Amino acid sequence: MAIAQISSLENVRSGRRLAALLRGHDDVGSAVQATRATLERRPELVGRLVIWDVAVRDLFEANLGEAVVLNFLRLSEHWPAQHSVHDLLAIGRAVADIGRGAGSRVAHATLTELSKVLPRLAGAGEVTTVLAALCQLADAGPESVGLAVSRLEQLLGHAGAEGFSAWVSAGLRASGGRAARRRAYFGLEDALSARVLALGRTGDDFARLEKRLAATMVALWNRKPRFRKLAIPPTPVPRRTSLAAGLVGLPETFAGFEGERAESIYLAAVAHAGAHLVHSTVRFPVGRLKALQIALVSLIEDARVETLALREMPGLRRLWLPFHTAAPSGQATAAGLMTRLARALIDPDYQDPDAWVAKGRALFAAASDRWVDPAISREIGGLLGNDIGQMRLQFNAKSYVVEPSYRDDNLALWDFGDQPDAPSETIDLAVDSVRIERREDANGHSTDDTAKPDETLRARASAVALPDGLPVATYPEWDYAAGIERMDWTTVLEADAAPSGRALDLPTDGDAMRRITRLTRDASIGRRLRHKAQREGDALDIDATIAHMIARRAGQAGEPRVYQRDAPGPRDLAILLLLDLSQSTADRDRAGRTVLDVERKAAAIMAAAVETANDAIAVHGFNSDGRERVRYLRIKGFDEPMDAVVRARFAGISSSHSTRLGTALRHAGSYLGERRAFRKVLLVLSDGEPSDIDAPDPQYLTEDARRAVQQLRRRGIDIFAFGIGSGRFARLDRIFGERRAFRVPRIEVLPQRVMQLYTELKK
Amino acid sequence: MSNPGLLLDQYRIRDEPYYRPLRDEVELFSAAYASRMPVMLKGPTGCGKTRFIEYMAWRLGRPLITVACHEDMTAADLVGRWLLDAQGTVWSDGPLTTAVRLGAICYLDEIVEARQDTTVVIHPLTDDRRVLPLEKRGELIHAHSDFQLVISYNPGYQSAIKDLKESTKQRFAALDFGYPEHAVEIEVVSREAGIAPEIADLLVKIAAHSRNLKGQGLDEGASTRMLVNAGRMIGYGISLDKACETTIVVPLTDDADTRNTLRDVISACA
Ligand SMILES: Nc1ncnc2c1ncn2[C@@H]1O[C@H](COP(=O)(O)OP(=O)(O)OP(=O)(O)O)[C@@H](O)[C@H]1O
Ligand SMILES: [Mg+2]
Repeated sequence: MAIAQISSLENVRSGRRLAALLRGHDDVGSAVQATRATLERRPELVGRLVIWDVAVRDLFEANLGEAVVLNFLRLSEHWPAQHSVHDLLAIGRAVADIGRGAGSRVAHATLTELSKVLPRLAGAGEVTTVLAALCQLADAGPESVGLAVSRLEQLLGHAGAEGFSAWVSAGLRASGGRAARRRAYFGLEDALSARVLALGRTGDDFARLEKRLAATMVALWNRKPRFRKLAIPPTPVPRRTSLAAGLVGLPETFAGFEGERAESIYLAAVAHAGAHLVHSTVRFPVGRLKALQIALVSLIEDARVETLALREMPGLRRLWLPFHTAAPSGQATAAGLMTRLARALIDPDYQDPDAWVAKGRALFAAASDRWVDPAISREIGGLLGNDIGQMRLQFNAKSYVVEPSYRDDNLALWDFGDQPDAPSETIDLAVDSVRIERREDANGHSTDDTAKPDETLRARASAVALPDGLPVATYPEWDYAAGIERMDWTTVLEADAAPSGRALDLPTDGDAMRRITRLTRDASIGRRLRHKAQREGDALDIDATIAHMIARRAGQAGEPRVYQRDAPGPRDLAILLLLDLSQSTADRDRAGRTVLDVERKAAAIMAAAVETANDAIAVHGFNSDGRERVRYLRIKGFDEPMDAVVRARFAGISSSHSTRLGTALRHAGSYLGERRAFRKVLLVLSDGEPSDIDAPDPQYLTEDARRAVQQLRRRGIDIFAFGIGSGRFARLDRIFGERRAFRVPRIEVLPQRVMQLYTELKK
Repeated sequence: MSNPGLLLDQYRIRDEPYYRPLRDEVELFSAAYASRMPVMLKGPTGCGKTRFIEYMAWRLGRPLITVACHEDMTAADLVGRWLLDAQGTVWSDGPLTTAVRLGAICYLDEIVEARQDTTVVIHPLTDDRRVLPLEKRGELIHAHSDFQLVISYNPGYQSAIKDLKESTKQRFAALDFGYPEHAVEIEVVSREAGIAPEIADLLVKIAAHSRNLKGQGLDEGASTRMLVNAGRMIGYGISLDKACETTIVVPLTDDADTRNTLRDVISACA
């Protein structure tokens, strides 16, 4: 109550201050008061009016003319209830800013355009994103704000708020501070501009859908190709899906398919691609075929694989048919007839009077007992191609594109071989596809594994970054080739990790942390505790029984608490987290995260959670530079709390040198060996396989690590490993055992996976 | 306890349970039983292990005592314990002890769920000694000549952590169960759910696709049990989509993407 009074008092005062400011500008003044009165009746604005007053005053003082203020008042009055009022106030402030840089006309236009696009910006933070982008532009390229604003609705419809923001910053970067180039870019006259815009939009679609598409491919077809995004080439021919060895390339955009429709076309494309992967079992030799024949054979092959797919999954017809929109009225060109035939072959209800289409349909139907045989595509396609030739219909290979748009380019169906005298059109087709592949590589869109630079070279090249530490132990190493254990072969140099100037902030994902903490508290493992004198239990508690019987004989009817029960005792785990700190952990994934970053994050989350659960956890790291220098860093000791010093050590770790895993495992094992706990767990986080400068045979360190693991297991230590990143980690299983080696190809989920294992261990 | 015959009778399986053999498991199990060899039934959840052992018990004419194992189960839950009544202490046999004394088949379902210190009580029963020591009572029971121990074991994700001790595993003969092959699964589902084979066919197809997702978003695909459940809902008049949503999609996963993928599968098949 008291607070409400104070705020309304504030409100009144603020209103008076505003009125004083507007004195002498009577038109605006009374308009403001009128709007203010309307706003006062809106419950969500009560208590916010003071800030609103500030926004109005800002606008007024920016000297942008009355029209701008009036425009803002209009926007305020019509502010949709479902939108946050913070956004309204932010618009006021941003428009004042923009106006200062770009002038009042632009400020006015900005307000007008923003009010139109509001319904599009319903997502959290979207208004703010757009405003920030506009302000950035007003600051760095004031002459171009008007250009962007005048197309705001179109741009946002196309790219969304994030895409728009990316488009603005890309434009500012690309123009290198030159106003003329900026004008071309923001006026959409620059090709780059359109490309970036398309990227912004479809990058989102593809990223949003990729996981689902991959899963659907597996579920429907039991195939696991890798997916990748294909850039749109700056040509008028639309891009199609493209299949190549183990890869499904999907265009970053299907022109004309947005939102929900984007989802269905990507699904349709993936279902079609899968049908090829399963049913297109041979590649047709190109031989002397002409482009038209190639296209027709491909068309029949498309129908053939889809027909086979539909036999098993008839529901796919609902997915594909909507894209078949060809109709008999269409032009009688070769390409037009082909889209009609494509439809006729998978749409039983489709009627088409054309004789050629009817013939194609009849030939295909007549081959029904041979549908599993790809050769029929070659036969039927060849026949139909001759007919087209006789009908004297033109076919333009350059502009031809497979229809409907969910179908792939079909290049993967063909074996182009070495054909010096092949018709030039087909070579064009083939070369084009190669060129496209190359370009993508150059643009960095390919997800192909790039060869890793030689580990050894990197180790040599990198400067000595760590204080070396003291030699604390020597360990044997197993030489699998010679079948001997070399005694005292490696030396461990140990030190506390050097703290960085700033402590690591613990992840603030409060909800996740709370869930983790609860899980850990509920979980139970460890020594069992015996509870005596219980009402129920597994066994009689002899002392209590005797006492009870005596009491009963003496006529006292006490409650029979005569059992004893073993219950899970306090949780009792000792965990040592061993982090790979070798140079390769500095590699970044496509989102710019390094393996070291996620290792650090996972370790910090786990350490904090385990600490709350009262288990003991240590976090150590290692790298190596030859057998005499296996560096071992203590980041957190078992008995150290996660305090500022430890967190500063977390922040300070860095990547360098190589990975002599076996020695590090043995040393970590010696730490765990000293602990008293029901269960001792060694958890290794690594991005690669053992290697070192003085071990040219990759199998050597693998076999040594495997032996170290086995020895530690025998000593009662459970060892698990996480292989982080997209590598195959073929040796991980060999070292740790298949069921104790987990792969985390998407590095950002590492913390989750580690916590998952922890909660499993606690069960 | 007063009348062992009566006690055993309640564990007898009177009517033949419907079981559709997948391969030669009936023959193999009969052979193992002939020498009272302990048997382990391995396989994913809901693939018919429980049904199989019920059928075998019926076929061999032995009573079946089933124990669902869980984490908090103690050795006393299996073997028995002292209780207190007006006269003083009385011993009460646990289910395992009952089976050992009277000659039943004892089926320990999902044995990995029990803690290892619990599972060791079966060791002396599963080697040549065939004895069960009741330490608390100071008694050593020699197993009845008809007694057999059967355990089930689902090698899933958590088995990296929860696993049988090597010394436990090696005592058993193992039968590997998987989901039935396509035609057989159709037969099972249409019969168990009482639906037309064409609908069962559809459900089995959906399941086969969902099993592709094992390790790719699902820990396990749709089981035969789920299909029977879906079939029963359909038999009741629920639409295929809704029945699958309720008995397959929602129970299998909470992940939105994976659910969508399952829905893609259902709509592709139907
Ligand atoms: N071969 C089969 N013959 C008859 N029914 C079967 C068969 N396989 C599966 N079923 C059906 O599947 C259902 C589930 O099988 P059951 O309960 O035996 O699974 P389970 O393997 O024991 O699973 P869990 O490991 O979860 O206990 C049965 O109730 C039955 O309806
Ligand atoms: Mg195709």
